[in-house]
Amino acid sequence: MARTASYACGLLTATALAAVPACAKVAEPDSIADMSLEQLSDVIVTSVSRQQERLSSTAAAIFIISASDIRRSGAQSLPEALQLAPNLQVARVDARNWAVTARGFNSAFANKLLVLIDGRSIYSPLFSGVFWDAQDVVMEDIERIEVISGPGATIWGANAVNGVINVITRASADTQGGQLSYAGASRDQNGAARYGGTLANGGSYRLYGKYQQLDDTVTASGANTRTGMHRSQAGFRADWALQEAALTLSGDGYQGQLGQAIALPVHISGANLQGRYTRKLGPEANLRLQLILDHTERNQPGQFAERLSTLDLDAQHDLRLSPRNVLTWGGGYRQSHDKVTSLQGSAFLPGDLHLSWANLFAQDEFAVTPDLKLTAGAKVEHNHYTGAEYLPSLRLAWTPDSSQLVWSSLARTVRAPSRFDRDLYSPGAPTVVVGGRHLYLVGGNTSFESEVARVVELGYRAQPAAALSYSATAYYSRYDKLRTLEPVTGPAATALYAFDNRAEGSSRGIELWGRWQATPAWRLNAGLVVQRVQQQLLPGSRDLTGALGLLPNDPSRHWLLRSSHDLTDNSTLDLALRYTSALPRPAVPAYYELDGQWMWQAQPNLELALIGRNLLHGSHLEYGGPPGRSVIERSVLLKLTLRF
Amino acid sequence: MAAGTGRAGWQQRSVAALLAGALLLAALAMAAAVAGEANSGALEAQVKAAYIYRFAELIDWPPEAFAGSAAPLTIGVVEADQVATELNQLRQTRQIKGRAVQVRTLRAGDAASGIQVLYLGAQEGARVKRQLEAAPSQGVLYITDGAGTLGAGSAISFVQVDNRIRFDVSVAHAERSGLKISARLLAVAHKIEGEKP
Repeated sequence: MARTASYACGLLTATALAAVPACAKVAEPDSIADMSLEQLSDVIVTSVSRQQERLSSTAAAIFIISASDIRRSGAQSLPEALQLAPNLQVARVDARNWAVTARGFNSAFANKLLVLIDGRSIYSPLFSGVFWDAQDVVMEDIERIEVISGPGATIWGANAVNGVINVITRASADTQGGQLSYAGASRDQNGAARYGGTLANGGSYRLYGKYQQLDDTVTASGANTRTGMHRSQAGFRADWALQEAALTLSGDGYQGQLGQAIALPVHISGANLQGRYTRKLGPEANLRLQLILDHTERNQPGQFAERLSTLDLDAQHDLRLSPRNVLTWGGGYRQSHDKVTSLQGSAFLPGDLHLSWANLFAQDEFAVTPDLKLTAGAKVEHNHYTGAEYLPSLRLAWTPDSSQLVWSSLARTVRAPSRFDRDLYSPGAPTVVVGGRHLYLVGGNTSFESEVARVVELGYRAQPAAALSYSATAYYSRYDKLRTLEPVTGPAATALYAFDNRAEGSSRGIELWGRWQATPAWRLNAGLVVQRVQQQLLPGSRDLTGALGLLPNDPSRHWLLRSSHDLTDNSTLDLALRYTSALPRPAVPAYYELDGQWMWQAQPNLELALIGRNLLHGSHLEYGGPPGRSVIERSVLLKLTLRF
Repeated sequence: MAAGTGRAGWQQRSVAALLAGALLLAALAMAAAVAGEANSGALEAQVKAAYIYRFAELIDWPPEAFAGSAAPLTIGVVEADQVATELNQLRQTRQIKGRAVQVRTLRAGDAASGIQVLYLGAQEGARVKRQLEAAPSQGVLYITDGAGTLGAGSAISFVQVDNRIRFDVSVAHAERSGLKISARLLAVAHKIEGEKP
């Protein structure tokens, strides 16, 4: 698994091991005021050019969404916050479903993106995607979101194919005191309460609770899609700084009711508990241990009812072997018990399944010259379905001077099969009668293999002036064994169709983004992705994936322009204009939309914000096919935040 | 791909183009301002101001250090105008421990009563020592600037290490002022006085 946020640091800052939280160097929040002590102690203030070192030395396409970006955007949910990353495609499907990916292959069931909250994977082994409607975080408690487009499998393991998202929450010491926030429109409500304090033994903690209610969306003809939801969540985090070590304990519990068309509402609930221990073993050696217990339930009337319990254990050790060599190595073990009760729509067979994953990885960063760093690594990950998968990568980073970085990478990564690929039967019972035999329409395929991607990337980042920085990445990915849905023949067949690996594909593109602090009070951010995603069937394939709505549907380009303006000492105005070109199948027209927030600090402890989303049009299409697809409507929210 | 066809699509595109154009124009107009803005000391001041905020969040004052539970936290700044400017920026939007923040710019020798944090900009050591000796001993966090300035009696001093701003801590000096320093702050300190370097 090795899907911990701290592993990110192994990749991202193999050289910056001086402090226990080795992430300091990658954090780079836009605002120095929001930096933690560790981050402050890593800001270079007097390099030759006396510029802050904002360029991380990471040989990857990484974009950081800072706490201040999130605050100033007015984002009320994780997917809304993710819209701030130019290297992500984020499309709202309906009230509670989102299609999120990087580098193409987007769908509501997008399966090539790994998402973690404080190192806890929220990627479902049921369908290798994320149930966005089951995930929530108090937006004010997010320290940053690291968005990496491109493969990250050597560090994070199988499934980090097209990208990795790490949501990192603030240490509890940074969220002391009380905070109440409420954002609401007529029928959308979002309330959160948090309180942070100190513990008698020197630690600190915070407790939070939040409630969210989303109104149903409608279709173009005005029909209600019944996809609204409400959910409540509570949790805590406690941190202790020990001598040369740190301990973090956190947990969350949630429950919710999600609307769906035709059938009764979906019930979700879950709880997780997480412990992380980091220890400085020497001047340049660190150890991280992490244990996660996670339980989720999802009862989707008409489809299935899942209970998933997971135990995940990870360890990582990094150390400087010699002045030129930094080694990061570690391993992980994860065990899940997945119990799925079949309902009318689908069955996952066997219904009761124990899954386990184990991995070992090592990565060495070698300074060929002081300016040129070569990082080579590999992970071997063993999964329940396909056994050992080999996930190597090679990265090269050249820093000709302190304000420029040229990097390149080669990687092989896989998307390991999920239960959806191997164990899905539909409908829930063999009710299709063909020639006197009772068959399923779609049946499991025990020989479904991992989808494989081989990726080459070339990137350039520069900060020619303190106020200006930008990044450009070109990539080419070649995919083999992509999922198709093929007719099954033969006397032993239990279904008419089954998933198979009979497609191949490629994606190529350019990702550009930049930031310009035009004046002390005005900042511009812009991002553009131009891409070409192709998928072709192998000879003999009679793919029917399209009938299930699983085909990826990608725009050829999307861009984003954000303006952040400090109007006065206590009011700010933020505007974000975004564009997504047309989607081909099913056809969705290109659209422009504008989000904005005006925020007023009425009192030192009272903040008022007016948030507008999708302001340009009464409604527009973002994703899905007719006739049931939602239109995304203009909305305006008022938000109040009180700190005490 | 066109945003649409016909009049509606054209309107949609032109609105967006206008918005984008307006932003770009404004951006170009501001370009001149940028050139003069690259102020080398500004970053250092920003970092120090942010540090001072983090320090104050991680230190426990005796209750009598404040006039009341709703009283603001006052930061005095001596001979460090840039840091004072940055602190004044921060205090507009950020509280410390639930208290509003006030920033007072002091001159050397000004009475330092009614403040909870006193930051003395980079000065020669003997002068710092004189000022600290004249200042109240209880309930004030003294922060000085420069390696070795802890010796003058401050609880925290900024030091520059490898082109970065770090800080040293004297637990004894903090305790003498009745302050309690959290372990988290100590964990990030460059040096803790009394310990081996």
